[in-house]
Amino acid sequence: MKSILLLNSKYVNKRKWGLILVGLSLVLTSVLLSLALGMLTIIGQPFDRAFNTQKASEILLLFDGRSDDQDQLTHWFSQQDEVLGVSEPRPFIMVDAPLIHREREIDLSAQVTEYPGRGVVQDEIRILKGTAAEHPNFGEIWLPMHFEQSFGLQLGDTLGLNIKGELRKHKISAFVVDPHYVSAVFNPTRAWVAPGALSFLAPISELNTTMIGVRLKDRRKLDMFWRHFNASFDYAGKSLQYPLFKRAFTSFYSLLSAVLLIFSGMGLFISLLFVKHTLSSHISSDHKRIGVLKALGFTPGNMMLLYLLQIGVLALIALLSGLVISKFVIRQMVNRIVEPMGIPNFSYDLSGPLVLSFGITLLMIFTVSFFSIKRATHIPPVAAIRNSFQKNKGPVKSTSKAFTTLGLPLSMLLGGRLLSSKKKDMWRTGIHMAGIVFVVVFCVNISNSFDKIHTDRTSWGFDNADIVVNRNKEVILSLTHRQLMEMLGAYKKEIRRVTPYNYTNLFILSDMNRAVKEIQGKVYSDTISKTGLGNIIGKHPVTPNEISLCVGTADEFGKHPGDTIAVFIEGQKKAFRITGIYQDVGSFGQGFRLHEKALLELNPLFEPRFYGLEIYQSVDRNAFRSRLEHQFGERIQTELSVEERGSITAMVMNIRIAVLTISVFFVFVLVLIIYNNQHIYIQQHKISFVKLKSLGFTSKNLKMVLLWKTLFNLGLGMAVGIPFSLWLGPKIMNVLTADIGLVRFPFLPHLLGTALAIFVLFVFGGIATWSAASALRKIDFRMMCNT
Amino acid sequence: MAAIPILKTKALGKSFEVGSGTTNGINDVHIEINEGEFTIIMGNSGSGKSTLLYLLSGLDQPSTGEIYLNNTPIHKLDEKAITLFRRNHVGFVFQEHNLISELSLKENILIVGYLTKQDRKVVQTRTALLMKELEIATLADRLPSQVSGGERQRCAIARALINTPKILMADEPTGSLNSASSKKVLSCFKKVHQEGQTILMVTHNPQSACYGNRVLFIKDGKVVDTLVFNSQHSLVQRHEVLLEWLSALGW
Repeated sequence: MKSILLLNSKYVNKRKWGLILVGLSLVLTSVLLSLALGMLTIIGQPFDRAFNTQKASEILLLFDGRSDDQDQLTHWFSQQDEVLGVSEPRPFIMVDAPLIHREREIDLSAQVTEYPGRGVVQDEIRILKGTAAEHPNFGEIWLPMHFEQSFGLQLGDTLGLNIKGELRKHKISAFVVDPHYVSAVFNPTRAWVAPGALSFLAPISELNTTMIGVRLKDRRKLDMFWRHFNASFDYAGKSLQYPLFKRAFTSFYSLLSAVLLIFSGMGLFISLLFVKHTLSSHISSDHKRIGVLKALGFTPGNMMLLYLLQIGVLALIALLSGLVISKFVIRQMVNRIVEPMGIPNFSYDLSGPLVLSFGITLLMIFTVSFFSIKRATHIPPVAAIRNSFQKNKGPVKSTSKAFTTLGLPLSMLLGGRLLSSKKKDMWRTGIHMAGIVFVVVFCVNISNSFDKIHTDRTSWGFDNADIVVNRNKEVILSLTHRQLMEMLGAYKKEIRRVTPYNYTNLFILSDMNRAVKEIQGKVYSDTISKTGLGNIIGKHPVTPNEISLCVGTADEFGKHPGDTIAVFIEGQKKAFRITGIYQDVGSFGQGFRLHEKALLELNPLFEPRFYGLEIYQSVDRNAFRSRLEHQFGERIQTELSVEERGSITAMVMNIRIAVLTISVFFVFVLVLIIYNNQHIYIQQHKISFVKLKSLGFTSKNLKMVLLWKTLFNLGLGMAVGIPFSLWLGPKIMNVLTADIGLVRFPFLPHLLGTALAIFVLFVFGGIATWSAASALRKIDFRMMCNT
Repeated sequence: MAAIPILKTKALGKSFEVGSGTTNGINDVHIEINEGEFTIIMGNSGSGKSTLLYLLSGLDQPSTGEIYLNNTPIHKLDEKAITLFRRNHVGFVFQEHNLISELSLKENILIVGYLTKQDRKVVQTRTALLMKELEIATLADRLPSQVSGGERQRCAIARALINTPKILMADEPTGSLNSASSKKVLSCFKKVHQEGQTILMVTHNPQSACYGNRVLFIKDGKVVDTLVFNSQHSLVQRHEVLLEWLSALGW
């Protein structure tokens, strides 16, 4: 054992730089994998912690008191065994117009709700910033913490609520943790005012909307309980439930973690190949030495141990370092997440994912190492001693057409020839590079696809609208649909298309004609196909009996185009034929689309209230929006399209930063791999380089040869990696984003970005080769005399 | 007509560091090699013959003294300059053929030709010609590992000749060959010498040395004696003269 340790220390010392590079690659892989597993494991925990601590309701019922009786509802829920508690009714009003802060508009709708304060035992609101109080005072407003982070609002600032055309100013007295609306992605959000304050904001006759929260003993039984409720109670209001709140909170991080997990898998694969290549190279160059050691009495087991120790110790150090780094990174990320949730000293258990990541990686490294080293144990000592290098098993004939037919520079010809002379090595390194090219090209194009959310919005399920106009029916001299359309028609130079639509809700009925789910959908007045919206399968509804479903809803109820779906809509039961399935990230995959004819048949008074305006590119969007607001005054409200909202833009930006960071990480891995490969190649082919030098090649000539060899190999990697990335990339994203309603990710390859990525890879590959090739300077002609 | 020296040294020396001190590999060597000569360097193991050859070819740098090759003071050239000089003026054949194992025989020759500014068609034609002359034309596309030792060495000679060097140097070119292969290789040397090529060859084999027309004997890093063969003598006669001369020198 002592002799093995002694030899091991000599070997490690001799190959320290190569081993350090392998170690670095393992550190990076370990960081990625443990980060992905860690984030996936704990991402839901802060949300659940806040939800539990503040006794948040799993179901929020939002209803009009004129249609649903709050006492009856409260009574029914209170009687159910599954229910832990029912909150006291909290009146609210919806403020659809943008919120006003320092003369700027914040494109969020708010559900302005009274907070009772004293005696609240359910759906508590916790103050994070601001003076502690039981509830806001009159003239004050409490806002979720994301207002401060996303829009830069400060305590003491004034927030204007545009209610019925009047700007009601409120002083921001606290930023709070509202467990239901902790995510900035959620729109509408919620704001809290003093008990009784709503009666000063809107006429009593309009204060009909109320919210009740229902807290369950076991939230896993929510679906079953909700079906039971719908079967027992004729409820006309809306409901928001725990899974939706949680998904809004976790979707971004889950998506990011899933992307990380995919990339860490790629990283692990590349690192394992790296380990295998390094060990195989060591064994090849030690061929004679292995023979000598065996002749001296080293058993195959000793040989196995000798090499396994080198990589095993390295792997242990690298993986443990990776875990420490990822633990630190996760801590930073979690702090960032829990900060707006006001969870002090949030503790979480990372041991599971870290141990899993460590175990998987170590096991795979040992397995790969074992099979790579096994070759060393089979080397016959006599043959190894007599032939210091393994025999060339190449073809009997070696073609050399390129040398006589192509008028390329010699370094290029020789680089290509050296590469092709060892096809196995060429393909192995090519696969390394293909893996990295795959990830980098994938990252570039995913980043571009997210960036194009603003121009390719219909592919994401957003309406093809730059500005959305909301026709305000509740003002004196409100505009009719026809009037507004005529007036908008005057802007022919600015508006390319107007798409009128409205929202409506329906209940999906079970076979027993019981409502099992309420969903919100859109009703279009125009032919839907003209709006630019698309379907994943089938076509848009045209006739009064046709409907298209969003992919999440269709999946949930097992519906396909051609099937029939029974619903309760506009107070009537109706069966629709499903014509198509579409995707919509804005509604997390839930919803439906109807043509106006379907609604008019059930409700002749139906009119569109929203107008998606697609404007010409040359027109300044914000200026035109101001112009419209100026002309129409309080009779309309305008907002930017969904994908332009700050929260979506911030999310897109975060995803782009994350994937681009990953691509930088993989470029770094490429540099490590190329540097190490070249280093090993020079060591193994030292004599060849001496020979070339003796023939008249300068160090620069040889560097150029190696450079071309790398560039050809990288080119091979690209020839495999780029098409593979373009083919598999969208498929991976389809799986990752299916949960947020995107089963067909709008993958948009970016030619220039991809070309730039290729260029960067070539440049970094070249730099890595050039610096590794500096070792050529040290090559001495005397080496030849010693062989 | 007086012979023109193509290679000339003055007080050439090469010392090596051994532990804390130094030892002389080559010491105060003065030699002249004339154009068209086939000169042999002989000596016992460790006498410094290979070291001298490496110095004369510019593969190694002298510690002291001067070397003029084709009137160029190569001892003054930096690494790049000497490499470029060697490329055009010196052909070298090693004991181990030193072919690039990844390249075919033809490619091994072509790459050296391509290094110079010659037209590639000319290089290809000359390669074909040399391979034919050295009887390896049929093996052009084989890898070094797929041909015999003698064939490899003939390829190495062709490679050394591709740029029509002023001088062809060879370090024990038959050292690792059997007698049949050695004969073939030496015949090649004889053939190119008869075509006017200047050759400087290191060998410890008296039979090989007989192919030359002058022998320098080196001992302890110094040239101690010179033997000039009678050009009318056969190889057998030369061998006898050589052995006699060598035994007088303590061989």
